[in-house]
Amino acid sequence: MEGQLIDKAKKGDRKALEKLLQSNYSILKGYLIKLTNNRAVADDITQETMMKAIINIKKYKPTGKFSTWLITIATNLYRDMLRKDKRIEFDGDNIPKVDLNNLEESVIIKTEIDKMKSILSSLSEDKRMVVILKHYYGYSYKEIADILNCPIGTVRSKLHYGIKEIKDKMEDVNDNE
Amino acid sequence: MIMNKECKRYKEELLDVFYSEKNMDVDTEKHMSSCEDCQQYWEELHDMKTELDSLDIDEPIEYIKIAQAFEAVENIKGKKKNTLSFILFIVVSSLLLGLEFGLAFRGYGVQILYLQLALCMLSSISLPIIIKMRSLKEGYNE
Ligand SMILES: [Zn+2]
Repeated sequence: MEGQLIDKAKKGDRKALEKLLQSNYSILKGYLIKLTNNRAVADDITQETMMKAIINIKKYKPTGKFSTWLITIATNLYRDMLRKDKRIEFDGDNIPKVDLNNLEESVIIKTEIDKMKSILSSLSEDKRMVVILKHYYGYSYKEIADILNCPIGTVRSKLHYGIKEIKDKMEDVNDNE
Repeated sequence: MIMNKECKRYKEELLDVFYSEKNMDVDTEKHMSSCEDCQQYWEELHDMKTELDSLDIDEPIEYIKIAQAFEAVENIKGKKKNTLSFILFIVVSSLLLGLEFGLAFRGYGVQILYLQLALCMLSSISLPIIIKMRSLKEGYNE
């Protein structure tokens, strides 16, 4: 089903590409929200990702799922954004300054969800990416290595350190309660 | 709680098993059955999973956003096309101008003037036809 749609989309069928984007929208948006912990930024990168996919669909070589391609594009866009450090002034909207690294301290932890959000966003970018891709999307180490363009061993160790950090922080928070 | 070296290795194994990178081997299973520390670790992983899963909220499909992405790409393509035809216009017109001057210097000035006069008349006659064809092409005729 997806394969047929991809074939059609690559031949310039707009409806097919639209369907592909629709069926993968939730995954893409959910991934970016967890990654950025900022809806406005997630919205912008979702939009940019879809535009890139529309522009480059003819060059796309399907090796895995379509969502993997979208997630790879989104990850690269997010990395570019971090490099340029645009997260503070995004499109001039009134988005409060979010320092992803100090979120743990700056946000008053109210609910369980907020608590987990702040723990997840306190991880370094690369650890967070690996944890999210593994935990929520069930990608294999190999697939994650392809998405992030790094060795499999690095993915494994980042996951291990990331999970350890999450567990430790969960204990810390629980101890403080 | 003192974590021995053995347990550290088994916990790494357990995490790979937890995230479906491996199947639990006999050795790990045997260790698990006799080590409380590792059993607790295994349980903690499940607790952590429950907590992390609470962040996984289903995002609704925003059809308008998808349509907007297509539109934005169309706009970019349109702009590129315009820039391209503008460059083409500049190149062609400067070539023609150069040719005209060249011919004028070689003594074909009078012929060029006649040619231009003819072209002027022709273009003013053909203008309504061009406009009509253009509006047909762009679909402005209702
Ligand atoms: Zn043990």
